[in-house]
Amino acid sequence: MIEIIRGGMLTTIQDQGRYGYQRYGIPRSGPMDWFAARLANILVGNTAADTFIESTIMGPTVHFIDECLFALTGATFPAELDHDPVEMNTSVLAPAGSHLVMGTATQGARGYLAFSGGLVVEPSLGSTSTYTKAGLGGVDGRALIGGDRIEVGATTLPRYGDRRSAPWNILPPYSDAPTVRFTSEKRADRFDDRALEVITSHPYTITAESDRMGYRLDGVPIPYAERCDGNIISEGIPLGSIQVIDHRPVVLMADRQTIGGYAKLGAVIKADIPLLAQLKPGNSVRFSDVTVNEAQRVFRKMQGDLVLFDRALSNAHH
Amino acid sequence: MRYSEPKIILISDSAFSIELANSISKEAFNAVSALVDRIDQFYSTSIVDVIPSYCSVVVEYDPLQASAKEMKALLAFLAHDLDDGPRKCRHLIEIPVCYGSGFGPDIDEVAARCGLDIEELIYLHSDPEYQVYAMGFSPGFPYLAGMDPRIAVPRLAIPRTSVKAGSVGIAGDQTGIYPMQTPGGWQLIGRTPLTLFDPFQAEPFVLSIGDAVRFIPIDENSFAELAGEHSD
Repeated sequence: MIEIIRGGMLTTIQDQGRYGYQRYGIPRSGPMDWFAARLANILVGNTAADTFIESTIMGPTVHFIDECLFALTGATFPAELDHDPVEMNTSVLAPAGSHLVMGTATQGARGYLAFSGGLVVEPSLGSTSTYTKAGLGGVDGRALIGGDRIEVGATTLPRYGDRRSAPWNILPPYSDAPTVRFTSEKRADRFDDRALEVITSHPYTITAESDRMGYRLDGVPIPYAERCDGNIISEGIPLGSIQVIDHRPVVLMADRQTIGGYAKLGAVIKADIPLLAQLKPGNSVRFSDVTVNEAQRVFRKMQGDLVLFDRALSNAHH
Repeated sequence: MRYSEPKIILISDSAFSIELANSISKEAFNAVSALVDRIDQFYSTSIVDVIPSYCSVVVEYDPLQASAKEMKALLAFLAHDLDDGPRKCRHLIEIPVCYGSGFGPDIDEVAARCGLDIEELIYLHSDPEYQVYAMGFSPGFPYLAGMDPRIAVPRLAIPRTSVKAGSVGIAGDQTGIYPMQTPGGWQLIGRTPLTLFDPFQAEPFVLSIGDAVRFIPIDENSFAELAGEHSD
Protein backbone atom coordinates (compact mmCIF):
# COMPACT_ATOMS: atom_id res chain seq x y z
CA MET A 1 0.00 0.00 0.00
CA ILE A 2 1.14 3.54 -0.75
CA GLU A 3 -0.37 6.79 0.45
CA ILE A 4 -0.20 10.07 -1.42
CA ILE A 5 0.84 12.82 1.00
CA ARG A 6 0.87 15.67 -1.55
CA GLY A 7 -0.61 15.31 -5.04
CA GLY A 8 1.73 17.65 -6.93
CA MET A 9 0.56 19.49 -10.04
CA LEU A 10 -1.18 16.76 -12.04
CA THR A 11 -0.43 13.27 -10.78
CA THR A 12 -2.54 10.57 -12.38
CA ILE A 13 -2.83 6.81 -12.43
CA GLN A 14 -2.31 5.37 -15.94
CA ASP A 15 -1.86 2.10 -17.77
CA GLN A 16 -1.41 1.47 -21.50
CA GLY A 17 -4.69 3.22 -22.28
CA ARG A 18 -8.28 2.49 -23.18
CA TYR A 19 -8.64 0.45 -26.37
CA GLY A 20 -11.78 -0.24 -28.36
CA TYR A 21 -13.90 2.68 -27.16
CA GLN A 22 -12.81 5.46 -29.48
CA ARG A 23 -15.83 4.69 -31.68
CA TYR A 24 -17.95 5.85 -28.72
CA GLY A 25 -15.95 9.02 -28.29
CA ILE A 26 -13.78 7.79 -25.40
CA PRO A 27 -10.15 8.99 -25.74
CA ARG A 28 -7.24 6.55 -25.55
CA SER A 29 -5.45 8.15 -22.56
CA GLY A 30 -2.47 6.23 -21.11
CA PRO A 31 1.00 7.72 -20.57
CA MET A 32 2.19 10.80 -22.47
CA ASP A 33 5.70 9.25 -22.64
CA TRP A 34 5.13 5.58 -23.46
CA PHE A 35 8.86 4.80 -23.41
CA ALA A 36 9.49 6.11 -19.89
CA ALA A 37 6.36 4.38 -18.61
CA ARG A 38 7.40 1.03 -20.07
CA LEU A 39 10.96 1.43 -18.79
CA ALA A 40 9.71 2.13 -15.24
CA ASN A 41 7.64 -1.07 -15.29
CA ILE A 42 10.57 -3.12 -16.64
CA LEU A 43 12.92 -1.82 -13.93
CA VAL A 44 10.67 -3.22 -11.21
CA GLY A 45 9.93 -6.52 -12.97
CA ASN A 46 6.38 -5.62 -14.11
CA THR A 47 4.66 -6.33 -17.39
CA ALA A 48 3.68 -3.61 -19.87
CA ALA A 49 0.07 -3.95 -18.66
CA ASP A 50 0.81 -2.93 -15.04
CA THR A 51 -0.62 0.29 -13.62
CA PHE A 52 1.72 3.17 -12.69
CA ILE A 53 1.72 6.88 -11.84
CA GLU A 54 2.42 9.81 -14.19
CA SER A 55 3.39 13.08 -12.56
CA THR A 56 3.61 16.49 -14.19
CA ILE A 57 6.28 19.16 -13.51
CA MET A 58 5.61 19.30 -9.73
CA GLY A 59 5.81 15.76 -8.43
CA PRO A 60 3.96 14.13 -5.53
CA THR A 61 5.08 13.05 -2.08
CA VAL A 62 4.49 9.34 -1.58
CA HIS A 63 4.45 7.43 1.71
CA PHE A 64 5.38 3.75 1.39
CA ILE A 65 3.23 2.00 3.99
CA ASP A 66 4.84 -1.34 3.11
CA GLU A 67 8.28 -2.14 1.72
CA CYS A 68 8.22 -1.65 -2.05
CA LEU A 69 10.58 -1.77 -5.01
CA PHE A 70 9.95 1.27 -7.23
CA ALA A 71 11.55 3.14 -10.14
CA LEU A 72 11.37 6.73 -11.37
CA THR A 73 11.81 7.49 -15.09
CA GLY A 74 11.05 10.24 -17.61
CA ALA A 75 11.64 13.85 -16.53
CA THR A 76 14.49 14.56 -14.11
CA PHE A 77 13.10 15.26 -10.64
CA PRO A 78 15.19 16.19 -7.60
CA ALA A 79 13.67 13.19 -5.80
CA GLU A 80 14.60 12.10 -2.28
CA LEU A 81 13.73 8.96 -0.35
CA ASP A 82 13.94 9.89 3.33
CA HIS A 83 16.39 12.67 2.33
CA ASP A 84 18.65 10.38 0.26
CA PRO A 85 18.77 11.33 -3.44
CA VAL A 86 16.92 8.89 -5.71
CA GLU A 87 18.67 7.93 -8.90
CA MET A 88 16.60 8.16 -12.07
CA ASN A 89 16.02 5.10 -14.29
CA THR A 90 17.07 2.81 -11.45
CA SER A 91 15.16 0.42 -9.24
CA VAL A 92 15.11 1.47 -5.58
CA LEU A 93 13.91 -0.48 -2.54
CA ALA A 94 11.79 1.74 -0.29
CA PRO A 95 11.58 0.51 3.31
CA ALA A 96 8.18 0.39 5.01
CA GLY A 97 7.34 3.84 6.37
CA SER A 98 9.68 5.75 4.06
CA HIS A 99 8.73 8.90 2.14
CA LEU A 100 9.51 9.79 -1.48
CA VAL A 101 9.52 13.57 -2.15
CA MET A 102 9.72 14.40 -5.85
CA GLY A 103 10.05 18.22 -6.03
CA THR A 104 9.90 20.14 -9.32
CA ALA A 105 11.28 18.72 -12.58
CA THR A 106 14.61 20.25 -13.63
CA GLN A 107 14.57 18.70 -17.11
CA GLY A 108 11.46 17.52 -18.93
CA ALA A 109 7.86 17.61 -17.78
CA ARG A 110 6.57 14.13 -16.95
CA GLY A 111 7.88 11.56 -14.52
CA TYR A 112 6.80 7.93 -14.17
CA LEU A 113 6.68 5.94 -10.95
CA ALA A 114 6.25 2.20 -11.22
CA PHE A 115 5.89 -0.14 -8.24
CA SER A 116 6.83 -3.82 -8.26
CA GLY A 117 3.55 -5.73 -8.54
CA GLY A 118 1.77 -2.76 -10.13
CA LEU A 119 -0.91 -0.57 -8.59
CA VAL A 120 -4.25 -2.27 -7.95
CA VAL A 121 -6.99 -0.07 -9.38
CA GLU A 122 -10.50 -0.96 -10.57
CA PRO A 123 -10.51 -0.57 -14.36
CA SER A 124 -13.27 1.39 -16.07
CA LEU A 125 -13.97 0.49 -19.70
CA GLY A 126 -11.09 -1.96 -19.62
CA SER A 127 -8.40 0.42 -18.40
CA THR A 128 -7.16 2.01 -15.19
CA SER A 129 -5.98 5.15 -17.03
CA THR A 130 -7.32 8.35 -15.52
CA TYR A 131 -9.32 10.53 -17.90
CA THR A 132 -10.37 13.40 -15.69
CA LYS A 133 -12.80 15.02 -18.15
CA ALA A 134 -15.10 12.00 -18.00
CA GLY A 135 -14.14 10.84 -14.52
CA LEU A 136 -12.77 7.53 -15.79
CA GLY A 137 -10.09 5.32 -14.24
CA GLY A 138 -7.63 6.07 -11.44
CA VAL A 139 -9.04 7.10 -8.07
CA ASP A 140 -12.61 8.37 -8.70
CA GLY A 141 -11.53 9.46 -12.20
CA ARG A 142 -9.47 12.39 -10.86
CA ALA A 143 -5.87 13.41 -10.27
CA LEU A 144 -4.34 12.06 -7.06
CA ILE A 145 -4.56 14.18 -3.90
CA GLY A 146 -3.18 13.93 -0.39
CA GLY A 147 -4.84 11.12 1.54
CA ASP A 148 -5.36 8.76 -1.43
CA ARG A 149 -4.29 5.23 -0.59
CA ILE A 150 -3.53 2.74 -3.37
CA GLU A 151 -2.89 -0.96 -3.05
CA VAL A 152 0.29 -2.37 -4.60
CA GLY A 153 -0.17 -5.79 -6.20
CA ALA A 154 1.43 -8.93 -4.86
CA THR A 155 4.07 -10.08 -7.30
CA THR A 156 4.27 -13.78 -7.99
CA LEU A 157 7.74 -13.40 -9.48
CA PRO A 158 10.76 -13.35 -7.20
CA ARG A 159 11.57 -9.68 -6.77
CA TYR A 160 14.58 -8.16 -8.47
CA GLY A 161 17.13 -6.64 -6.17
CA ASP A 162 17.37 -2.87 -6.15
CA ARG A 163 19.91 -0.56 -7.87
CA ARG A 164 19.40 -1.89 -11.36
CA SER A 165 19.87 0.88 -13.92
CA ALA A 166 18.77 1.27 -17.50
CA PRO A 167 21.67 1.70 -19.94
CA TRP A 168 21.75 5.39 -20.91
CA ASN A 169 22.03 4.60 -24.62
CA ILE A 170 18.52 3.17 -24.85
CA LEU A 171 16.94 6.44 -23.63
CA PRO A 172 15.32 8.73 -26.22
CA PRO A 173 17.36 11.91 -26.91
CA TYR A 174 15.31 14.09 -24.54
CA SER A 175 15.89 17.83 -25.04
CA ASP A 176 14.24 21.23 -24.44
CA ALA A 177 14.43 21.84 -28.20
CA PRO A 178 14.10 18.48 -29.95
CA THR A 179 13.52 17.69 -33.59
CA VAL A 180 10.59 15.31 -33.96
CA ARG A 181 9.90 13.28 -37.06
CA PHE A 182 6.49 12.97 -38.69
CA THR A 183 4.83 11.19 -41.58
CA SER A 184 3.01 13.49 -43.99
CA GLU A 185 -0.54 12.90 -45.24
CA LYS A 186 0.38 14.29 -48.68
CA ARG A 187 -2.95 16.08 -49.21
CA ALA A 188 -2.59 18.54 -52.06
CA ASP A 189 -6.32 19.34 -51.69
CA ARG A 190 -5.78 20.63 -48.14
CA PHE A 191 -2.32 22.20 -48.02
CA ASP A 192 -0.28 24.44 -50.27
CA ASP A 193 2.89 22.94 -51.78
CA ARG A 194 4.95 25.11 -49.43
CA ALA A 195 3.32 23.79 -46.23
CA LEU A 196 5.83 20.96 -45.71
CA GLU A 197 8.74 23.28 -46.38
CA VAL A 198 7.39 25.81 -43.86
CA ILE A 199 6.88 23.33 -41.01
CA THR A 200 10.24 21.60 -41.57
CA SER A 201 12.33 24.76 -41.74
CA HIS A 202 11.16 26.78 -38.72
CA PRO A 203 11.05 26.13 -34.96
CA TYR A 204 7.64 26.18 -33.24
CA THR A 205 7.05 27.19 -29.63
CA ILE A 206 4.92 25.22 -27.15
CA THR A 207 2.25 27.64 -25.88
CA ALA A 208 0.58 27.66 -22.46
CA GLU A 209 -2.51 26.08 -24.08
CA SER A 210 -0.91 22.65 -23.91
CA ASP A 211 -1.97 19.69 -21.81
CA ARG A 212 -2.49 15.93 -21.96
CA MET A 213 -4.96 16.46 -24.78
CA GLY A 214 -2.57 18.27 -27.10
CA TYR A 215 0.06 20.93 -27.65
CA ARG A 216 -0.87 24.17 -29.34
CA LEU A 217 2.20 25.55 -31.11
CA ASP A 218 3.08 29.01 -32.26
CA GLY A 219 5.35 29.93 -35.18
CA VAL A 220 5.41 30.62 -38.91
CA PRO A 221 1.88 30.20 -40.37
CA ILE A 222 1.25 27.07 -42.46
CA PRO A 223 -0.49 27.76 -45.79
CA TYR A 224 -3.65 25.81 -46.70
CA ALA A 225 -4.45 24.86 -50.29
CA GLU A 226 -6.22 27.60 -52.22
CA ARG A 227 -9.65 25.97 -51.90
CA CYS A 228 -9.28 24.76 -48.30
CA ASP A 229 -10.33 26.84 -45.28
CA GLY A 230 -8.75 24.39 -42.86
CA ASN A 231 -11.98 22.51 -42.11
CA ILE A 232 -12.69 18.94 -43.19
CA ILE A 233 -15.50 16.45 -42.56
CA SER A 234 -14.73 15.13 -39.06
CA GLU A 235 -12.62 11.99 -39.02
CA GLY A 236 -10.68 9.88 -36.52
CA ILE A 237 -7.48 11.35 -35.07
CA PRO A 238 -4.53 9.05 -34.33
CA LEU A 239 -1.84 9.81 -31.73
CA GLY A 240 0.57 12.57 -32.76
CA SER A 241 -1.69 14.06 -35.44
CA ILE A 242 -0.65 17.56 -36.47
CA GLN A 243 -3.89 19.47 -36.93
CA VAL A 244 -3.50 22.89 -38.48
CA ILE A 245 -5.97 25.28 -36.85
CA ASP A 246 -5.96 28.86 -38.10
CA HIS A 247 -2.60 28.15 -39.83
CA ARG A 248 -0.93 27.01 -36.57
CA PRO A 249 -0.04 23.39 -35.67
CA VAL A 250 -1.70 21.55 -32.78
CA VAL A 251 -0.17 18.15 -31.97
CA LEU A 252 -2.63 15.71 -30.44
CA MET A 253 -1.48 13.67 -27.47
CA ALA A 254 -2.75 10.99 -25.05
CA ASP A 255 -6.13 12.49 -24.08
CA ARG A 256 -6.91 13.75 -27.62
CA GLN A 257 -10.52 13.90 -28.79
CA THR A 258 -11.41 10.90 -30.96
CA ILE A 259 -12.63 12.73 -34.08
CA GLY A 260 -11.92 16.20 -35.38
CA GLY A 261 -12.78 18.51 -38.26
CA TYR A 262 -9.46 20.29 -38.85
CA ALA A 263 -7.09 19.53 -41.73
CA LYS A 264 -4.07 17.48 -40.65
CA LEU A 265 -0.62 17.78 -42.14
CA GLY A 266 0.54 14.38 -40.82
CA ALA A 267 1.41 12.79 -37.50
CA VAL A 268 4.47 12.72 -35.25
CA ILE A 269 5.93 9.19 -35.25
CA LYS A 270 5.42 6.96 -32.21
CA ALA A 271 9.18 6.83 -31.61
CA ASP A 272 9.34 10.61 -31.09
CA ILE A 273 6.17 11.04 -29.00
CA PRO A 274 8.30 10.69 -25.80
CA LEU A 275 10.37 13.74 -26.88
CA LEU A 276 7.19 15.83 -27.24
CA ALA A 277 5.73 14.46 -24.00
CA GLN A 278 8.62 15.97 -22.05
CA LEU A 279 8.20 19.54 -23.40
CA LYS A 280 6.88 22.46 -21.35
CA PRO A 281 5.29 25.74 -22.45
CA GLY A 282 8.07 27.98 -23.78
CA ASN A 283 10.15 25.07 -25.16
CA SER A 284 10.54 24.81 -28.91
CA VAL A 285 10.35 21.95 -31.37
CA ARG A 286 11.41 21.37 -34.96
CA PHE A 287 9.80 18.95 -37.39
CA SER A 288 11.34 16.71 -40.02
CA ASP A 289 9.40 14.42 -42.36
CA VAL A 290 10.24 10.73 -42.74
CA THR A 291 8.78 7.77 -44.57
CA VAL A 292 6.49 5.36 -42.75
CA ASN A 293 9.05 2.57 -43.23
CA GLU A 294 11.69 4.62 -41.45
CA ALA A 295 9.20 5.52 -38.67
CA GLN A 296 8.31 1.88 -38.09
CA ARG A 297 11.95 0.76 -38.23
CA VAL A 298 12.89 3.24 -35.46
CA PHE A 299 9.87 2.23 -33.37
CA ARG A 300 10.73 -1.48 -33.66
CA LYS A 301 14.33 -0.71 -32.64
CA MET A 302 13.13 1.10 -29.47
CA GLN A 303 10.77 -1.75 -28.62
CA GLY A 304 13.57 -4.24 -29.27
CA ASP A 305 15.91 -2.37 -26.91
CA LEU A 306 13.28 -2.49 -24.17
CA VAL A 307 12.62 -6.20 -24.67
CA LEU A 308 16.36 -6.97 -24.57
CA PHE A 309 16.81 -4.91 -21.40
CA ASP A 310 13.83 -6.64 -19.80
CA ARG A 311 15.32 -10.03 -20.68
CA ALA A 312 18.77 -9.07 -19.44
CA LEU A 313 17.30 -8.04 -16.07
CA SER A 314 15.33 -11.24 -15.57
CA ASN A 315 18.26 -13.43 -16.69
CA ALA A 316 20.58 -11.62 -14.29
CA HIS A 317 18.14 -12.43 -11.53
CA HIS A 318 18.05 -16.17 -12.17
CA MET B 1 -19.94 11.96 -53.75
CA ARG B 2 -19.16 8.33 -53.02
CA TYR B 3 -15.80 7.23 -54.43
CA SER B 4 -15.87 4.31 -56.86
CA GLU B 5 -12.75 2.96 -55.12
CA PRO B 6 -12.00 3.60 -51.43
CA LYS B 7 -9.00 5.85 -50.79
CA ILE B 8 -6.64 4.38 -48.21
CA ILE B 9 -4.64 7.27 -46.82
CA LEU B 10 -1.67 6.96 -44.51
CA ILE B 11 -2.40 9.34 -41.61
CA SER B 12 0.28 8.25 -39.14
CA ASP B 13 2.99 5.60 -38.72
CA SER B 14 0.34 3.32 -37.23
CA ALA B 15 -3.00 4.42 -38.73
CA PHE B 16 -4.79 4.58 -42.05
CA SER B 17 -7.94 6.45 -42.97
CA ILE B 18 -10.20 4.65 -45.41
CA GLU B 19 -12.16 7.38 -47.16
CA LEU B 20 -15.34 6.28 -48.89
CA ALA B 21 -16.79 9.64 -50.00
CA ASN B 22 -16.01 13.34 -50.02
CA SER B 23 -19.41 14.53 -48.82
CA ILE B 24 -21.92 13.44 -46.19
CA SER B 25 -24.74 11.23 -47.45
CA LYS B 26 -26.80 8.23 -46.41
CA GLU B 27 -24.95 6.04 -48.93
CA ALA B 28 -21.55 7.15 -47.63
CA PHE B 29 -22.58 6.38 -44.07
CA ASN B 30 -24.06 3.00 -45.01
CA ALA B 31 -20.75 2.09 -46.63
CA VAL B 32 -18.91 3.22 -43.45
CA SER B 33 -21.16 0.92 -41.37
CA ALA B 34 -20.62 -1.99 -43.75
CA LEU B 35 -16.85 -1.51 -43.54
CA VAL B 36 -16.87 -1.36 -39.72
CA ASP B 37 -18.89 -4.61 -39.62
CA ARG B 38 -16.36 -6.28 -41.92
CA ILE B 39 -13.37 -5.11 -39.88
CA ASP B 40 -15.04 -6.22 -36.62
CA GLN B 41 -15.91 -9.64 -38.04
CA PHE B 42 -12.46 -10.14 -39.55
CA TYR B 43 -10.90 -9.78 -36.08
CA SER B 44 -7.25 -9.12 -36.71
CA THR B 45 -5.05 -8.84 -33.61
CA SER B 46 -2.91 -6.27 -35.42
CA ILE B 47 -5.87 -3.85 -35.60
CA VAL B 48 -6.05 -2.13 -32.22
CA ASP B 49 -8.83 0.45 -32.70
CA VAL B 50 -11.42 1.50 -35.27
CA ILE B 51 -12.87 5.03 -35.42
CA PRO B 52 -15.73 5.46 -37.89
CA SER B 53 -17.30 8.80 -38.76
CA TYR B 54 -19.37 10.35 -41.57
CA CYS B 55 -17.36 9.36 -44.66
CA SER B 56 -14.33 7.50 -43.36
CA VAL B 57 -13.06 4.79 -41.06
CA VAL B 58 -9.75 5.28 -39.26
CA VAL B 59 -7.93 2.06 -38.38
CA GLU B 60 -5.13 2.10 -35.83
CA TYR B 61 -2.81 -0.91 -35.94
CA ASP B 62 0.20 -2.27 -34.10
CA PRO B 63 3.31 -1.72 -36.24
CA LEU B 64 5.05 -4.53 -34.35
CA GLN B 65 2.55 -6.95 -35.87
CA ALA B 66 2.01 -5.52 -39.35
CA SER B 67 3.99 -3.20 -41.62
CA ALA B 68 2.25 -0.28 -43.32
CA LYS B 69 2.35 -2.17 -46.62
CA GLU B 70 0.74 -5.29 -45.14
CA MET B 71 -1.96 -3.30 -43.35
CA LYS B 72 -2.77 -1.27 -46.45
CA ALA B 73 -3.23 -4.49 -48.42
CA LEU B 74 -5.50 -5.95 -45.72
CA LEU B 75 -7.61 -2.79 -45.60
CA ALA B 76 -7.91 -2.68 -49.41
CA PHE B 77 -9.19 -6.26 -49.26
CA LEU B 78 -11.70 -5.45 -46.50
CA ALA B 79 -12.91 -2.22 -48.15
CA HIS B 80 -13.58 -3.53 -51.65
CA ASP B 81 -17.12 -3.72 -52.98
CA LEU B 82 -18.97 -2.34 -49.94
CA ASP B 83 -22.75 -2.38 -49.84
CA ASP B 84 -24.11 1.15 -49.41
CA GLY B 85 -27.72 0.11 -48.94
CA PRO B 86 -29.41 0.39 -45.53
CA ARG B 87 -28.22 -2.09 -42.89
CA LYS B 88 -30.45 -5.12 -42.59
CA CYS B 89 -30.31 -5.41 -38.86
CA ARG B 90 -30.22 -2.22 -36.87
CA HIS B 91 -31.37 -0.96 -33.52
CA LEU B 92 -34.09 1.64 -33.18
CA ILE B 93 -33.72 3.45 -29.89
CA GLU B 94 -36.47 5.67 -28.55
CA ILE B 95 -35.29 8.62 -26.50
CA PRO B 96 -37.89 10.36 -24.32
CA VAL B 97 -37.41 14.14 -24.36
CA CYS B 98 -39.08 16.84 -22.35
CA TYR B 99 -39.12 19.85 -24.68
CA GLY B 100 -39.61 23.38 -23.34
CA SER B 101 -37.70 26.29 -21.90
CA GLY B 102 -37.35 24.66 -18.47
CA PHE B 103 -35.36 21.82 -20.09
CA GLY B 104 -34.00 23.43 -23.26
CA PRO B 105 -33.27 27.09 -22.59
CA ASP B 106 -32.87 28.02 -26.28
CA ILE B 107 -36.19 26.62 -27.53
CA ASP B 108 -37.99 30.00 -27.77
CA GLU B 109 -35.05 31.52 -29.62
CA VAL B 110 -34.79 28.56 -32.04
CA ALA B 111 -38.53 28.58 -32.78
CA ALA B 112 -38.53 32.35 -33.38
CA ARG B 113 -35.49 32.09 -35.63
CA CYS B 114 -37.17 29.37 -37.71
CA GLY B 115 -40.48 31.23 -37.81
CA LEU B 116 -42.29 28.38 -36.06
CA ASP B 117 -44.32 28.08 -32.91
CA ILE B 118 -43.06 25.74 -30.19
CA GLU B 119 -45.50 22.92 -31.07
CA GLU B 120 -44.39 22.94 -34.73
CA LEU B 121 -40.75 22.88 -33.69
CA ILE B 122 -41.34 19.91 -31.36
CA TYR B 123 -43.25 18.08 -34.09
CA LEU B 124 -40.53 18.65 -36.69
CA HIS B 125 -37.81 17.55 -34.26
CA SER B 126 -39.58 14.43 -32.98
CA ASP B 127 -41.07 13.24 -36.29
CA PRO B 128 -38.04 11.89 -38.21
CA GLU B 129 -36.03 8.77 -37.62
CA TYR B 130 -32.43 9.86 -37.10
CA GLN B 131 -29.25 7.90 -37.51
CA VAL B 132 -26.06 8.11 -35.42
CA TYR B 133 -23.39 9.12 -37.98
CA ALA B 134 -20.55 9.76 -35.55
CA MET B 135 -19.77 9.81 -31.84
CA GLY B 136 -17.24 12.08 -30.25
CA PHE B 137 -16.66 15.54 -28.83
CA SER B 138 -17.33 13.99 -25.42
CA PRO B 139 -17.82 10.33 -24.41
CA GLY B 140 -21.00 8.94 -25.98
CA PHE B 141 -22.08 12.18 -27.71
CA PRO B 142 -24.08 11.11 -30.82
CA TYR B 143 -24.15 13.25 -33.97
CA LEU B 144 -27.62 12.55 -35.41
CA ALA B 145 -28.31 12.99 -39.11
CA GLY B 146 -31.71 13.29 -40.72
CA MET B 147 -33.01 16.50 -39.17
CA ASP B 148 -35.61 18.60 -40.97
CA PRO B 149 -33.72 21.53 -42.55
CA ARG B 150 -36.50 23.89 -41.44
CA ILE B 151 -35.23 23.69 -37.84
CA ALA B 152 -31.51 24.08 -38.63
CA VAL B 153 -29.87 26.85 -36.55
CA PRO B 154 -26.21 27.77 -36.02
CA ARG B 155 -24.27 27.11 -32.85
CA LEU B 156 -24.39 29.71 -30.06
CA ALA B 157 -21.91 32.54 -30.70
CA ILE B 158 -20.58 32.02 -27.16
CA PRO B 159 -20.72 28.40 -25.95
CA ARG B 160 -22.13 27.68 -22.49
CA THR B 161 -19.51 26.78 -19.91
CA SER B 162 -21.80 24.03 -18.65
CA VAL B 163 -24.58 22.07 -20.34
CA LYS B 164 -26.67 19.63 -18.26
CA ALA B 165 -26.39 15.88 -18.98
CA GLY B 166 -29.22 14.71 -21.25
CA SER B 167 -29.62 18.07 -23.02
CA VAL B 168 -30.83 17.81 -26.62
CA GLY B 169 -29.43 20.43 -28.97
CA ILE B 170 -29.22 21.60 -32.57
CA ALA B 171 -26.15 22.80 -34.46
CA GLY B 172 -26.42 23.40 -38.19
CA ASP B 173 -28.40 20.56 -39.75
CA GLN B 174 -27.52 18.07 -37.01
CA THR B 175 -29.05 17.32 -33.65
CA GLY B 176 -27.33 15.67 -30.71
CA ILE B 177 -27.57 14.75 -27.04
CA TYR B 178 -25.05 15.69 -24.33
CA PRO B 179 -24.42 12.44 -22.39
CA MET B 180 -22.61 14.23 -19.57
CA GLN B 181 -22.29 17.70 -18.14
CA THR B 182 -19.72 19.52 -20.30
CA PRO B 183 -19.24 22.92 -21.92
CA GLY B 184 -21.14 23.17 -25.20
CA GLY B 185 -22.38 25.47 -27.95
CA TRP B 186 -25.40 23.65 -29.38
CA GLN B 187 -28.79 25.38 -29.06
CA LEU B 188 -30.74 23.46 -26.44
CA ILE B 189 -34.43 22.63 -26.95
CA GLY B 190 -35.09 19.85 -24.43
CA ARG B 191 -33.63 17.19 -22.17
CA THR B 192 -33.87 13.42 -21.80
CA PRO B 193 -33.99 11.71 -18.41
CA LEU B 194 -32.11 8.73 -19.89
CA THR B 195 -28.47 8.19 -18.91
CA LEU B 196 -26.68 7.76 -22.24
CA PHE B 197 -23.28 6.90 -20.79
CA ASP B 198 -22.54 5.04 -17.58
CA PRO B 199 -19.10 3.40 -17.43
CA PHE B 200 -20.20 1.16 -14.56
CA GLN B 201 -22.97 -0.60 -16.50
CA ALA B 202 -22.42 -3.82 -18.45
CA GLU B 203 -23.61 -1.87 -21.50
CA PRO B 204 -22.01 1.55 -20.87
CA PHE B 205 -23.49 3.21 -23.98
CA VAL B 206 -27.17 3.41 -24.94
CA LEU B 207 -26.27 4.37 -28.54
CA SER B 208 -23.69 3.18 -31.07
CA ILE B 209 -22.75 4.41 -34.51
CA GLY B 210 -25.35 3.35 -37.09
CA ASP B 211 -28.25 3.11 -34.61
CA ALA B 212 -31.59 4.66 -35.54
CA VAL B 213 -33.02 7.14 -33.03
CA ARG B 214 -36.48 8.56 -32.50
CA PHE B 215 -37.36 11.27 -29.96
CA ILE B 216 -40.56 10.75 -27.96
CA PRO B 217 -41.96 13.97 -26.47
CA ILE B 218 -42.81 13.60 -22.77
CA ASP B 219 -44.16 16.01 -20.16
CA GLU B 220 -42.53 17.21 -16.95
CA ASN B 221 -44.23 14.58 -14.80
CA SER B 222 -42.97 11.73 -16.98
CA PHE B 223 -39.52 13.32 -16.95
CA ALA B 224 -39.51 13.37 -13.15
CA GLU B 225 -40.78 9.80 -13.01
CA LEU B 226 -38.19 8.48 -15.50
CA ALA B 227 -35.40 10.50 -13.94
CA GLY B 228 -36.34 9.00 -10.56
CA GLU B 229 -36.21 5.48 -11.97
CA HIS B 230 -32.80 6.04 -13.46
CA SER B 231 -31.26 7.51 -10.35
CA ASP B 232 -32.01 4.32 -8.39
